[in-house]
Amino acid sequence: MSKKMTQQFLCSKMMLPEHCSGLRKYAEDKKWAENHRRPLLDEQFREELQQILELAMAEQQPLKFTVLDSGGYRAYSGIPLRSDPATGLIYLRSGSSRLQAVKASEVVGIEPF
Amino acid sequence: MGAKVIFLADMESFYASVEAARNPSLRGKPVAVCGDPALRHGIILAASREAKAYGIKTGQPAWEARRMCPWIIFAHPRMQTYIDYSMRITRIFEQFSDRVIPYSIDEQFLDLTGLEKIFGSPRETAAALIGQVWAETGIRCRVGAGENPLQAKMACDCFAKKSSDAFFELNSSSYAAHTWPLPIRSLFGVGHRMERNFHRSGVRTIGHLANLPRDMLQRRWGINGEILWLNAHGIDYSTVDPDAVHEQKGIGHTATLPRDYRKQQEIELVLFEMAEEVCARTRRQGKIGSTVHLYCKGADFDHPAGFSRQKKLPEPTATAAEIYPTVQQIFRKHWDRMPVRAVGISLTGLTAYRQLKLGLDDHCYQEESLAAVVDMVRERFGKTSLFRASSLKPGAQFLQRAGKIGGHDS
Repeated sequence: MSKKMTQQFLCSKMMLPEHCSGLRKYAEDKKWAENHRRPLLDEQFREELQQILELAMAEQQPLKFTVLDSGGYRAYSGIPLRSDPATGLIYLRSGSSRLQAVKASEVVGIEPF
Repeated sequence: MGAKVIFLADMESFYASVEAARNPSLRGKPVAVCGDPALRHGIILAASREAKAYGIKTGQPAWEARRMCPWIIFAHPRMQTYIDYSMRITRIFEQFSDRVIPYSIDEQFLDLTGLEKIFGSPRETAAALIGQVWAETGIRCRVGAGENPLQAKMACDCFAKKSSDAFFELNSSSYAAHTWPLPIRSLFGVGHRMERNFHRSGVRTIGHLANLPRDMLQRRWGINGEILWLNAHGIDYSTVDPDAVHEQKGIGHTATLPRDYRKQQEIELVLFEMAEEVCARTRRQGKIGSTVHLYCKGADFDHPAGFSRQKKLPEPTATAAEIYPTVQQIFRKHWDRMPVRAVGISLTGLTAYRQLKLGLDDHCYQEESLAAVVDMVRERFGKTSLFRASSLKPGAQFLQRAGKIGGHDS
């Protein structure tokens, strides 16, 4: 079937270029917001994450942290050394003894690495 | 599978309604939005319900409106404000459905299929939608409903606008009974010229057209004839797909000239300026086009003249120096030397720049580099910071159009 037959309204729409670019930006912002929407973690899931973290700290096992910050989803991996309740940071040693800090409030997932 | 539920929501006297919403002292008064009469933009772009009661219509000259209603209030168009309101309304509609497509600044399609359990019948949904738009923006909207976008559009344009509750619903079984007695011009897709063609063939109503054989229309007018036959039967295969709306088929500009242009030099100067404008927008999107389309409208309202032609470019491009010779060629071939009122240029067959532009010769490379530098300067210092000296010649439109939206103040 001809494209014109299936898109007669798209072919005839009358839109100002400024309106089109505004709508495009709006769609992009919406998509960005969707991709950055923080998931709601229930109490049980958070407890599970805490247990995985404490176990790995005790046994010096590497973990993979999934973090959602302003740049979107990121993954960090390393051996958790300690967590600091005052600053809300979890310190990891990744690779060649490099120290990294992850914000506990941005963590949305933890799994063995 | 059940029938689809498609809405077309149309804002009543949109520009005038926005003016009244922003300035409540205008409510209940005859208000018309019109451009600057000195630049021939003094035509009514929108008239409020109260102004329409005096017989004032869109497209009428401002002086005529003043004669019909001496106390009419004229408002200057503010296009960016209207765009902002239109987008606010899109966000309201998105509370009802995630499938919303703006069709123009004051019309939007919504697909509400499968949402009956949440919002109720189409009439109930429309009432909620109309109420929400009014409460949040102070703008009245009318809703046409149908099983496809065409039925919704016909329901809105031909019936909902005249209905007391601003709603009308058509479906496949009621379409013929309601629309077939209407004059052929009421059918979506039939313009001034097509109406004339149909009248010559004795086709006066939508019903007359519907009763002609489909293949006869197809033979005579090709795909357009076939689409009109389908429209006469309420059949439409288009969908409400929000992603499709961002696919850009072409980039173009049209402009009504401040006076009738008679000299070839003056018209060609404006065409060159418009070619530059179209190419700059195409480049901004990282694209090139393969076909250029030229539209010229004659100045005589009583005998509509002009032409609309397109031509494939030797090579896809987005530089004015490369598309202008083709524009000039089309213009010189088809212009009948009669005064011109409006012109338009568009570039279609868009592709990503890197995908096709492989064989650059030295000349093309220079033109592209120059265009890129001009774009950068204008981006940083404003559109009028750098322009061709020819734009200072009589008849040039570049400086008048700069900073405007749709030919009106932003």
